[in-house]
This record gives sequence, C-alpha cells and structure tokens, in this order.
Amino acid sequence: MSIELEQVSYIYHPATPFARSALHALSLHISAGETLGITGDVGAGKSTLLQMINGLLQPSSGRVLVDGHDVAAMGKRELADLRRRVGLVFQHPERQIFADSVFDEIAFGPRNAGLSRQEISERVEWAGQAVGLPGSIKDRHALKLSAGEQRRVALAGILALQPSYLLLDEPTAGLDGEGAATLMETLTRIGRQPGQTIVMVSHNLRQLLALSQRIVWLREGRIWLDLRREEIIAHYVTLRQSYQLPEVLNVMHALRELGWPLDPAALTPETLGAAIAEHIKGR
Amino acid sequence: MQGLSLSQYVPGESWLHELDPRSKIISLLLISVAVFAARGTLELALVTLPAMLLIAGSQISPVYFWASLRPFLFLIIPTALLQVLLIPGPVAFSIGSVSLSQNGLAAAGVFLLRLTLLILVLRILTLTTTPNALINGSEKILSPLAIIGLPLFEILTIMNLTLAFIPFFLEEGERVWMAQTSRGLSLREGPLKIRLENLLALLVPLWRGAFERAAQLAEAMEARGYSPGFPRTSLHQLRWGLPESLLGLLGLALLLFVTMH
Amino acid sequence: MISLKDVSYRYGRSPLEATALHNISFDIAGGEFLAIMGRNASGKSTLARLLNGMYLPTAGRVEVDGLNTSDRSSRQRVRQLVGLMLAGADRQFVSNIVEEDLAFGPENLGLPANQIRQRIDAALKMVSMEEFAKHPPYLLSGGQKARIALAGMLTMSPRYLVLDEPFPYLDAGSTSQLIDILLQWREREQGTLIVITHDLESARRAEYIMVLEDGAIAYNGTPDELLAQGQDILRQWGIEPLETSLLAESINRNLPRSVLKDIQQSGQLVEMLCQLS
Repeated sequence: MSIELEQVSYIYHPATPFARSALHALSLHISAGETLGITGDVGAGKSTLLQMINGLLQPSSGRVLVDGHDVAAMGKRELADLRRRVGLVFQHPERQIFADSVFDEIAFGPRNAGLSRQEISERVEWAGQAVGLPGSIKDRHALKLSAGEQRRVALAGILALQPSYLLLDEPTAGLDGEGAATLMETLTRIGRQPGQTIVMVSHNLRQLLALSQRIVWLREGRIWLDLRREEIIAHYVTLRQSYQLPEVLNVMHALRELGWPLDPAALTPETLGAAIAEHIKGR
Repeated sequence: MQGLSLSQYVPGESWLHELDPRSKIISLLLISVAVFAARGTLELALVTLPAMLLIAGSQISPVYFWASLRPFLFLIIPTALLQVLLIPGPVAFSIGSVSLSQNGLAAAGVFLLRLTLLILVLRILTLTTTPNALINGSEKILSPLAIIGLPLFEILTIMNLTLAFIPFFLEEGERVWMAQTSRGLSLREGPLKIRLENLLALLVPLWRGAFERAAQLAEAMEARGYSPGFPRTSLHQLRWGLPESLLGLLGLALLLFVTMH
Repeated sequence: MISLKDVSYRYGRSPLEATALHNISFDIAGGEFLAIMGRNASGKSTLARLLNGMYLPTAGRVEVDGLNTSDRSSRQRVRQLVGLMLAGADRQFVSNIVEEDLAFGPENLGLPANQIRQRIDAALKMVSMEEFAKHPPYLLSGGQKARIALAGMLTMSPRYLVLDEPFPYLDAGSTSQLIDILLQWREREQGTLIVITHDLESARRAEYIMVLEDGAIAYNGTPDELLAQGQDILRQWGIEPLETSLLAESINRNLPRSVLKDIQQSGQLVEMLCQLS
C-alpha cells in the first residue's frame, strides 16, 4: 500500500507562451502509515503535487499510482472511490463551506459516498470529535463560528470520509498562534492512528518537524532533499545555507558539534528538551 | 488564467508599442469594421495587407498570435466546414460521395479570413498596449460623454476590474470545484436531491468568494488612495503626433474604400 | 506621530453589535517600529484600518501628524501619509504589468507622469526588483510578489507603513528579508513601521510590542519585557512563545530544578548548557 509518483512532470498553460513548469520528472514514494512533510520554495508545485494524487490533475508526463493503480487510467467510479481513500484538505478549506449547519457540512462527503443515514450520523459524530469540536456545535451555522472552528469543521468534512491517506495543503495558514497549535495537536493525534498516512505541505519547517517522520524539500519543481527525520541534523549545514532554520535545529547542531550525544530525531522543543536534560543529569 | 491569451500585454519597443493608445484604439477599430464590411477579393486583400503589416510591425512572436486563435478554433473550424459542405453551387471538386461547391469553399474561405483577421487585429491592440494605456485612451476618446455627467473613469475601471475578475472566477470556480469533487461531488450521477445539494456546494462558496475578493480588492484600492471623483493622472503621457495621424488615416481610408466600393 | 484618544470602534449601529475596540488611547512616535500582536479577533485588523482612516472611530479620535482622520478634507492626505497593506496584498495587483500596478497609487494622488516614473524606479530599487518592471506580477514567485506589493505601497511615499500580516505564506527566511527591507526604508525615509503579526520572532525585532485582547490594550512595552511575562500569559493572549523559550522550559521541566532562566537567544541557551555540563 503506497503512493508512487514516477517521473511526474506538470506544466501550466502548455503550448502557450505562458507555459511554466511546476514539476520536473519528480519521483516520490510514500509508504502507507508514514507521516511525510513537503516543503520548499513558495510556489504552486507543492499544491499541484497533492492534486495529482487524488486525480484532480493529470501529470503532463509520468505516472501517479495509488495502491498500485494508475490514477490516469481510472474511470469515474474508481476516481470517486479514490477520493474516499485519499482525502485532500485544501488551503483555507473553510472557503468551501456552504451548508446551513455544521452537521450538513461535515455530512457532505459521506452523503455523496452513498452511506446510510445511520452511518452518516456516526461518521459526522466521530469526525467532529476527532477535530475537537463540541457536540453542541452540530446545528449551528458553520460560517458563524470562529476562523479556527471553521477550519476544524472543514477538516472534519474530509475526515468523515475516513481516508487512509490524508493530504493537507498549508493546514495552519491564516490561523493565529493558538489556532495553529491546536490544529497541529489534532493532526498529530490523527497521524498516530495505525495505518493513517499523512502528507502535509507547509512552508513552516517547525510545524513539519513536530509531525513528520520524513521531510521532502522541493526546489524548482524537483526534489532537492528527501530526509528521514533522524537524518535531518546531519544535513544541517546544507540546509542552513538555503533556509533560516528553526531554533531546535540550531541548538541541536551546536550541541552535537560539542560532542553531545543527542538523539537526532528529537527535533521538537519537548523532545529535545528532554534529551538535553537527560544528558545533563547523566553528567 | 485563460483570459491571458487574449489580453496579456507583451513588452516591446516597436513603433506600435510607442504609439498613443487613442490612435491604436481608433484605427484598429476602424480596420476591424473594414474587415467585416469588405466584399470581394480586392477589398479583402486590401484589408489583409495592412493587418499583416501591423502584425509584423509589432515585432511580437507569432506564437502569441497563434495562442489567441487557438481558443476559437473549436468554433471557427466547424462553422467553416459547415459552409463548405452545405452551401450549394457549382462543384469545385469531390471527395468520395461528398461534393464541395465553389461557393461553399469561397464562403468558408472568406469566413475564416474575416474571423482570423478580426481576432488578430484586436490582439495587436492588446499585445502592444498596456491595460492602463487602454483605459486612459478609451477615457480620453469617450471624454465628451463626461460632459453629460457620465462617470467615465469609474465605468471604465469597472469594466477593467470585471475583466480582471474573469480569471478570478475561472480560478476560484475551478478551486471550489476541485475542493468539492475531492469530497465526492458529482453533478451528473446520484439521486437528484444530492445533485441539487452539490450544485449549492459549488455556487455558494463561489458567490461568497467573489464577494470577499471584491471587498478585499476594494479595500486595497482605497488604501492605495483610490477615490472616485478625485482627478487621477497617468503614468503614460498621451501624445498625438504624425505617426498617430497616419495610422488613424489608414484605418479611415480602408473603411471608406470598403464601404464606397 | 499617530495618536489615538479614547478610540472605540463598533461594527454596525445598534448597541448590541460587537465592539471591536474599547476606549483605546496610545501614541506612536515618528520613527518607531511597533509590532501589534493578539488573537485573530482581538481588534488588530480594526486598529490597522483606523490608522489610515479607512475605518473611522465610532468614538474618540485618531490623529495622524495632527490631521483628524474623521475629517473628510484630510482623507486623501492621511491615505498618502499612512500606507496600509492588508492580507492578500500579493494577490491584489491592479494590473498585469508590474510598473502599472506600482503606478496605481501615485496616479490616485494626481502626480505628474515624470514623478510617477521616478517613484516607480525608486520603489523597485528599494525592493531590489528593478528588472521586473514590465513583468506580469502573477508570474513571480511568492517572495517576489510580496516585494512588488510592498513597492506598490512605497510609491505613495508614506511616512507610516502599517502591515497587517500581508504575507502569511512566506517562510522564515523571506519574512526576515522583508523586515530587513522595511528597516532600510525606515532609516532612509525616516518612516514609522507598524507591523501586525502572529510571529514573535518577527515581532521581537520591533522596538515596542503592543498586545490586544478583546479590543483593549493588554500590553504595551518592549519585546524583552513581553518575553519576561512568561509563557502562560503569552498563551493567554494567544501568542505562541518563542521556540527557544519552549526549549528552555522543556529542559527545566525535565530537570529536578529549573536551571535555565531568562533565555531569549539560542546562543545564550547553548552557552548556559555548556556551563551546566
């Protein structure tokens, strides 16, 4: 079970003078159950990548395979099924809210999937809880909620499909510090469920470090670096030359240079703090 | 961004680029009308020649012109084909059991030429004239109307922004469609009730998005000092000289010739 | 100087409508760099729009260099003095060509063509984007769009720049570069910078930070003093503490005693850790 991108390219406005290449012969393997972060230049390439995985866009060349099946070869029914297995949360997903009540909004996906009333109700309940929305909110108008709550409603709408692959495009964009932290906690919880794959696109490396087992950096439509979490610190110098890095990486690097034996996967304030404390206590 | 292939300006330093926009607007409009009024081989040749010269004069790669024609091919080609096949007359030649009349071929040829020229001539205008210059020029040309109290600049700005909103609607519409399709939206299959709900799922966010975007744009414009009624100036200085007059006369001459001939 | 005296702002007309700002009074001195923080609904964006007269206070007065923003006759002048950049500025170009978008502001001010040209050239230079004068803005990268949006504001030659989180998608490096440009502008033009942000890293580069909570000023002081308030209070105001603070706190929590105090830079942190081991 996996997602494969094989030599995938995508060109905007092909065959016009405005043609622009967003992705160049990109190959990427995503294993089921992993949490992958995608970052890099601010550009449309990352969003395009996600939109190809659930079949909204076709690559200009190359193949996209989900669980072994070529997305380009899929007919309507298979695509509908694909979109139940691959849930895509767009940037500012609250922009797609249209229903009168939170319940109806979250139920949209399951209803289209043809589930029974009972199942729909259960899914909505479950999804609402998964994102931390109180039950009392069910009948309220989604657009009257706060921005953070609206975003959670939109996320619940995708979760209600129970996709085994969850793709997120800049999930915390536009949220204040608190809203962002809450959402990241929610995503971390969801990611821990066995078999749940999360692919998250974000310009915020700190957030990706909180969540990802593996991070891919895109540059000019190509993969520049593909690192497992524990490999990141070994590439510190390379990364530093191109990006301003989160403080945990700066501190981790400085201490390792001084010979401190710290777990290279401890890349959040909580885990690194614990690791540092352990080392101090050991002395 | 499909509107781009028709409206995007391409920077350059050709004499067409340097011309006052008013002259270009007037003469290219006159030439467009002449293209439609032309009858007969002589007249058609006479309007085609300046059009070709202007295209060459713009010093812009033919790729851009071709890109503007492509979106219309789906309309032009079938119509031409219909003319070729359906217009009766003396047979020019036959392909199998299908005979093509001379009249049909001629009509299709003229149709193709006219429409192509029209698109290309209008495209010369948008390729060599920046949007602001176009608005400025249009405003100056229509300025006599301001005397009767017509808020010209505002109307033209509305038109310009409307044009700018077309790509937005296309983009946002596509985005909403993609987001809802990702949740299983289908307008063609499933029970009617669900399909109607799906329609709302497309229209409501699009509508809302348009209002929000308009409000944001209005705020941004206001923050940048836009104030309806307050006299605005322009980056471009309008200067009518000999080349402008010549171009205008060319357009006028063509139109007169074609209508009187 | 911008001064607010007992300013309140309420959406809608009935007394039952939400009040976005309650009786705010403060001054922003010329040449200052002020960061404004707080939750999304705390009144920050309302405040931003009050500063350039786009919103008029429902009570109290806002004065920019002595001009009352509620005064109709001062409106154009205030707009020219106070440049306001709002969220999404990098998607709101009014033309398909950079230099025409940049010309929009000065054209609105009624400047002659040659001055407009000068301003465009100067603004492009300030943001290091001179060669993009004839480009279509939408073909630029995110960081480049942000700079053009900023240049669009600079062509109005404002004395005060108010930025309401206009570029939420920029990564840390690009955001930092943008702040560098803003600081250069401040020095060169003797301008005043007011930046609304959620990011404490960016905010601490300011001289003063103001925190709004539920439409009132919860804090107005230096970044150092703000950090000294402690994480709990910051969180109460909806502010995510500095990464370094979180790290220091995490270390303290895992040790029998709190050994790290007052850590604000990662360099400091590393030093102290070395001393400890």
